[in-house]
Amino acid sequence: MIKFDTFTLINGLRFVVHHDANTPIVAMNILYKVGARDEHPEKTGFAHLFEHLMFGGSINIPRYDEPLQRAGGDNNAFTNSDITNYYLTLPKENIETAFWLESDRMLSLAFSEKSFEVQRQVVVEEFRQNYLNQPYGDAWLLLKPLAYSTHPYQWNTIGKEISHIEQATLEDVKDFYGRFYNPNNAIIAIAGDISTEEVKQLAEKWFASIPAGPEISRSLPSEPIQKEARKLHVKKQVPVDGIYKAWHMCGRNDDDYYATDLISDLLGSGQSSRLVKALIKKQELFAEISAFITGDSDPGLFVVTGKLLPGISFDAAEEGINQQIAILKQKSPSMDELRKVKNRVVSGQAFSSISVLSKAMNLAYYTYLGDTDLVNNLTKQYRKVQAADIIRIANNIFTENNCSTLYYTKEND
Amino acid sequence: MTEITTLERFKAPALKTAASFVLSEPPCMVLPNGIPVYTFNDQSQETLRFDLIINAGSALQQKKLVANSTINMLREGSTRYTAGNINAKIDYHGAYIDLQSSKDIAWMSVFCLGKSLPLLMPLIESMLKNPSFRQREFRMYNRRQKQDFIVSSRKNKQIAFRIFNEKLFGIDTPYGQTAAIEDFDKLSTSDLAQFHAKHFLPANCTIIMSGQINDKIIQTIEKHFGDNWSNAELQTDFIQETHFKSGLHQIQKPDSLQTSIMMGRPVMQRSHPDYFGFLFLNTILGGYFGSRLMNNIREDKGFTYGIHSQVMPYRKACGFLISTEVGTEVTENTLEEIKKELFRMQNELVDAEEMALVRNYLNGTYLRALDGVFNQAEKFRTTLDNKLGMEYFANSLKAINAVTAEEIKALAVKYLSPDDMLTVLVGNLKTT
Repeated sequence: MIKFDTFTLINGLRFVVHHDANTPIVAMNILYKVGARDEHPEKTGFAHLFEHLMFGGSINIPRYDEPLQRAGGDNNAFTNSDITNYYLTLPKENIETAFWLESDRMLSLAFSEKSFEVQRQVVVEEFRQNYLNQPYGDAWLLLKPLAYSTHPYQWNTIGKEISHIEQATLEDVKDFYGRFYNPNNAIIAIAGDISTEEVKQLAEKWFASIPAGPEISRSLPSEPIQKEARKLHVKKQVPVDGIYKAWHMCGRNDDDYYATDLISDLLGSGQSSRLVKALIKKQELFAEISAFITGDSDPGLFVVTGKLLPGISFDAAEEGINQQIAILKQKSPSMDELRKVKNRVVSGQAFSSISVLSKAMNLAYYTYLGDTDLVNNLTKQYRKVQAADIIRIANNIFTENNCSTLYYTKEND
Repeated sequence: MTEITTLERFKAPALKTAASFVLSEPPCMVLPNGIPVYTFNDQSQETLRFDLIINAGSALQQKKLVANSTINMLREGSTRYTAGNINAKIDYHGAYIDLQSSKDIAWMSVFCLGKSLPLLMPLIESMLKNPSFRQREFRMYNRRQKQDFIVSSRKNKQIAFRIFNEKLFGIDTPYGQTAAIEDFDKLSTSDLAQFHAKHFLPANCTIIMSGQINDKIIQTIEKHFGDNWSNAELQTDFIQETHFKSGLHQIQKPDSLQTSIMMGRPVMQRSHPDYFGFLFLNTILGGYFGSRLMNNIREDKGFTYGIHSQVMPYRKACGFLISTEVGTEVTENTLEEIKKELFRMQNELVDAEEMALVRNYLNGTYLRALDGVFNQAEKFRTTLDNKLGMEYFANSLKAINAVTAEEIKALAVKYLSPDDMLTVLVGNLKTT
């Protein structure tokens, strides 16, 4: 049981506090409710580029990392389609340093021209390193626009193309900051040997005077129902053929989310999962295969992806996947099999409750989803799933017309 | 009156020294067959981690890939359980098994709920003592590994690291051996069975447990691992005679957008008096986000997404490595800047402010790295090779807080001359 308190400052900034007396480390997680889905279609990659700029100095503090390291702290951040998440840990004695640093960059950034130029270049190198100069690195850059015609999930967090990052201006940055980096658009979770009272005092001192920003009304275009199968063939310098199949599924707060997640576990998570057993070990079609969900806030994707064994055709490989899906649609999983995937969720939750950092991250994320109690109730949600739900949802999702397939073909050299 | 007028936001809150922490050696129980069992107990945890460490790393193999394949094939079936049985049981209990090998050791880690371990023990015992190395499973395993190898061989970083490792230790030495694609085809199940019979014996094993440990679990361990399950004799240890040659090695990859750069040399081992000071030096140079290399080459020039330096300790040798991936057009400039930073370490004293910053940062890093029983067990494992114990971390902390700028400079002069280093470049290089 993870106990927590919550309170909200007058400017709308939410706090979640979890007391854990067994560690000398305190973790702070700040979640800003802004992600790649909030970007302009011609200025993609921005939320992520912005994450880099958050380390380039704030209005009163020229450098973010240095004072934190001096306090014995460490930090990082990530951006996805929905959120931008910053997190740090430091010795509990120096927790005020975290309040000082984070409140200043919520108040205002330095917007240094130099830091902007450099980080733009750093992100271009990140784009090259992780997406272009890497076998299969661009698969998601191809798959998402195939699967989404309308919703902003059609572009990746890194951006549609390098030119969007190269063309970003400091004006764009200031505008983005003004719209999204406000106390009423953020959630702070703190976990460690610190009381809620202490957090309240520090929160009042450092954050309460930051003015609230405009309310964000998000009206993202929803993705229309896909009416026919989409296929894309590409030929690239890769050593083996790969296949990526994506089906539209529900959003994170939908009642069916947990059952859909369990379907992905049944199919492709763990060595005893169906795809691994049938297609790698028994039929010897794939060298590796997995199934997972993207877990986005808005309706996301259910993905099956694998690398084919040499000499196996795409037809045979795809037929193998389709057979497993057909079984899923027709036949209930056994009680044992369902219990197995649920047990994996239970132990996964236990492992993610060990460190104060992962507890703070979870608390902030579940608060963002609108239900902080999920930190303790998540396993209950999975336990509720019945075999009938699995069949019903499988039949909803796994239709030919709802599927986008990327065939990533090895170029003969 | 709002607080914003009285709050001096430009002024950092006063820093306090973190409470010092006591590192004690874990209790050790010795099984009847001599296997030491170290425990890091915390009853407040629901979970448990079981590590079995075997002195059976790649340095001991007579044929490439054998050590890693042997440990990984443990989950592909034993005389009592098929691969399917093993995986079904592990997954059913929500457990995770991690099998890995390094140059010095091989190990099996089991992560599970405390209540599940006794139920998994018969399985783990059988996997470890009686693997069956079946032909069909091996063929599939080896094919998968080969395919992974082919994919990773397309990455400049991987190519560079393989060359770096060969040149660092000497290609024909236990540490310098590096697998090539044809080695996968030379491997057979009998190689694995032999390696297992020779090295998987009680005298080569250590067990570390962390988390929710109770008497029942200890008894289970003794029941399943405490007997004399092998009568093989302990082998004589390997000899690592490092043949290092500095110089430049370049591999041309015409389609690359980035160049992988690796630069380094062998350095002193963990028991050497220079070691802790060198760790400090390494942190300043490239061992954390605020390091000089990161500040210069990423944060000032924007040449790369990241640049790091690291110390890689093994039981019988130690390497030092600077690595990065940079835009093709700035390869030369990056090499220049790396050299500049090396010379700066050699010629200028690190000022008091930077010394203090790195000292505080490292103190915080140790506090984090040794927080909680799971982290402590993990760190303790890294000291087993040289039998250093938790004392190693206490000594390291003492050294971090005592080292001077003069000592750092002297170490840089001794170890960081660019001319003494090996440089590997893989990418679209200018042919001159």
